[in-house]
Amino acid sequence: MRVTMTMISKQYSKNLNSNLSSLNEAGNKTTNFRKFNKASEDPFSAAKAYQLRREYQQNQDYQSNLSLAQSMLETAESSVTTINNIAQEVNSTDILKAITSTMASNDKKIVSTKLRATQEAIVSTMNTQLGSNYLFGGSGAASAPFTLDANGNLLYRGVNVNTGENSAGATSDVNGTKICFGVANTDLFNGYTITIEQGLNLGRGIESINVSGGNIAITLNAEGSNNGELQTALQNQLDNAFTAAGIGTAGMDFSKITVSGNASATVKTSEFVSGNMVKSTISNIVDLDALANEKIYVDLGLGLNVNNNNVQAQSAFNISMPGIAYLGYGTNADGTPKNIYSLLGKIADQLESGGFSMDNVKPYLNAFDDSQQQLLTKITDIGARTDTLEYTQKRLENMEDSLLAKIDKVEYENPVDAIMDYKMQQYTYTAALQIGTNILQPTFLDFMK
Amino acid sequence: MSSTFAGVYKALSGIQTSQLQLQVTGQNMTNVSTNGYTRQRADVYSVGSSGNNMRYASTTAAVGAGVMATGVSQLRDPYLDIRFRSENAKVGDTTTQLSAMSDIENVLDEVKTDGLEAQMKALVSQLQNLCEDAGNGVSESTVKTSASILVNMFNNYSEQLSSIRNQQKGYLKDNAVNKVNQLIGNISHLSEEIRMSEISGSSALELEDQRNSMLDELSQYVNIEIQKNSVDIGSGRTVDELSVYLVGASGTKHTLINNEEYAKFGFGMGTSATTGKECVNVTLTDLSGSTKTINSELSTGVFHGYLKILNENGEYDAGFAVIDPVSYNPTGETSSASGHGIGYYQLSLDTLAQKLAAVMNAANSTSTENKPLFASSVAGEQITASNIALSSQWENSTGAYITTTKQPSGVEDNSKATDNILAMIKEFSTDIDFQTENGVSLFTGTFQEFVTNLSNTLGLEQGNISSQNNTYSTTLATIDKQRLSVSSVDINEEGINLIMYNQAMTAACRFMTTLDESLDNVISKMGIVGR
Repeated sequence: MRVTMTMISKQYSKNLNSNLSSLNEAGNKTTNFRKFNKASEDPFSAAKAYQLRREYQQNQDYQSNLSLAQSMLETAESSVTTINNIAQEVNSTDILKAITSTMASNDKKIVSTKLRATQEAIVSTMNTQLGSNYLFGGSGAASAPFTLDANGNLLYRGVNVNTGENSAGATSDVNGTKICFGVANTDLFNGYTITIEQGLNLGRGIESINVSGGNIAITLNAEGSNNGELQTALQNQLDNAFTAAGIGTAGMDFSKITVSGNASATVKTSEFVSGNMVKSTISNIVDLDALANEKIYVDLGLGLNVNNNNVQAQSAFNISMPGIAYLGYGTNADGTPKNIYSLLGKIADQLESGGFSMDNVKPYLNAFDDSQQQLLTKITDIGARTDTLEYTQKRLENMEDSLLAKIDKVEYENPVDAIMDYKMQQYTYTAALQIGTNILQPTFLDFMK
Repeated sequence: MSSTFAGVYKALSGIQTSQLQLQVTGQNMTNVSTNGYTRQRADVYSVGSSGNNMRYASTTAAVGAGVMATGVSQLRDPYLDIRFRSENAKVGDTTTQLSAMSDIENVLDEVKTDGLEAQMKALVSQLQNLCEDAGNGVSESTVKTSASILVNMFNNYSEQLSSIRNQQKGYLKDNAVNKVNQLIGNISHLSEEIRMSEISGSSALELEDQRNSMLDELSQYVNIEIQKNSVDIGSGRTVDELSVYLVGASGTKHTLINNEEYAKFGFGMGTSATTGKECVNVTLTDLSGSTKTINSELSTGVFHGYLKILNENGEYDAGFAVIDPVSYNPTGETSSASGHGIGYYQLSLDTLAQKLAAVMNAANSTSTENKPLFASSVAGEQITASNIALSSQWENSTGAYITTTKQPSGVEDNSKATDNILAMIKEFSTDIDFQTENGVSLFTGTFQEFVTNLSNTLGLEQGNISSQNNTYSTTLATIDKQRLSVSSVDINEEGINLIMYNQAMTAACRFMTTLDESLDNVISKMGIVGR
């Protein structure tokens, strides 16, 4: 092949340029130590890196959730332990065990006063806040969960802890749609049933509502209406129906009826009738078991699984601590309350009453022993949850380490390699430059005379 | 028998030829670094004795009549030109695509940690935080801020992709089409000049060099074929007439230049007959003056590069009934996916925005209450990446707007429940089947995976085009080297020629003086013997 100077110099400048660009690339690597700066440089590593980064971010989220859950449980544990200490102290020979049939009235007064003071301590402890949240408020932790009604009954989020009576009035939970009848109508609607017909397709909402009971049977066409429209329809049409049926509407305030919630929720508390019809009996009694078992989940990377709006229990961590689960709720077979607060009140009542007898007070004392035992079980439960958290934390921390190591491997260059490579490129470039000064050789012309 | 002074003219021809050769050498040496210059050579022949007009055959030996230069010609291999030009079209095609793709990559850059995917991660983190403080307006406003950054990012990406599209459109319209029209015009005018000077008998080598350079440049834009026809102009001489054709995808040839007549490219906007999507058209006004769109004929070259980037929408072009571009009747076939131009990335972002809005809106709404999180900023328009915004309800809400649970318990306040927030978080790790409007599957995976997959598709494609570009460029460089090997000037060679021609001249002169001396003997010294 014929070789000319033009060819040589063209080729040289091309090679020198590619050397320089390699040097530039190697130089970049020594400053940021990244293996690639654009996905196109290494699409396979980039894909891996994206996946690892996502996992790392999730891990960080889980750890942040976990540390919050930990602090909640710690605070809760100390509060519940305080309650337990109070209960133990009350149950000691100084107070409850000191109650005998032959007690002096002075002593009875002292004991009952002490019991009343203890009641207050229990309520204030159970209304403990962490940040702006009430720890023992279950899913309604925005305001203090435990309050007292006018008669001195303990209310948990507005619900009587012994009877389950809702101070807000009767409600009907029809497959997620909550119809509330207001304080004024407390038990006037009890016994009526509400049947809701849902659209056949999920998310189509309510098609019609039937209210029946006594002489009343009305059907409201409610297709596609929202909660507000339903509410107005119920208020007006119920009023008309009751009046038409000749039922006394005295005391009934239809304007207090409210509708909220979501009709497409999975069938939970209401009675399933057929196809797309669900029925619920109107009642002002709230299911206390459901309240005590309320769950609030946080995602700790346990394989979150949400099925039809239901979080699968094992796939997330439950941080809910409904206060009544600790203090007890409902009544025993013999009619004594299970709730510690109520029991103390009952015992104090007995002590203060004129016809005091050991036989009358005994069932309450026994019930108190049981409830205290129940409280201890719950403390153990918190302990078990804390253990789970510790184990999960270790697992998350280990995972974080291994993720960081993997990210480092996929995205970052070993500094030694990067610097060595840079030095090598520098050497090549310098060599190329040196050759360059010699590459334009003398020509024949230099030797012509 | 040659005449007495015949030798003098022979010597003269030697001197004149050497002089011409020295001139040609000088021309070569002065143009050693001129771009596109082809080395020249004097065409020299030795002149034979002319004895055929004699009545009788000569008995003496006939000697030639010296040397003669008939002209100057170029040393060039036309086959290498053809190869160079066909390879140059491929390099032009891939370079154009590569430059546009690297622009797109700057937008869809997920390697940096503040891209679209990272913002989705941030939104999930904020939702996780909300679990810890559900129903709190303050906690919710951080989720809102994060979501609003996300929609802004969508808008921003979309706008940047549009501006890349406009840039590419501008490059095609103002640079490529104009440049090609200018080149075609210039080549045609040059050809005319070359023809004229050839008719008048002088070769126009330097003009041919110029024309070759322009043809090289033209070959970058479209696939061309060059044809030279020798035309007899009488008195035994011929001139070359040049025709340039555009070779279409189907092999059809469209005349670009025929002597002084030439065609003209144009640019126009239109919609694809099959997909109904906006597209750009490259038109050709042929020699007879009729204009037609020739998009499908441009199979390679810079034009093809631009058309691919601007007109091809990948999977989004698939599944349409194909409309015949001439008769406008359906051909009965269904269109298949095309290459991944800007449109593919724009439409993919739109699909993602729609899907994200649809899933999150459904997650927040209940059957009796429509509580969208995202909406289109233009009322009544379908959500796209460019118009996605926070819904006005969410935007204007001051308290808690996110649905925390869809299963309220029997009591009033359920704001701290988290099951629906977890359901929303879960949506970000749920595989979704992303499809085009025709139901062509794009990708199955999570939202975040869709973003990174998009970035990776681009990366892989770019890698692919880049390696093609490298191969074509290397081949082009090799062919160019071969061309240079034939056509470029070598100083050594010319130096040697210089000495050689100089010596040849000296020899011719010496021959002249030798002749002179020998004739001197005959004229002055003969017949004076004994004087």
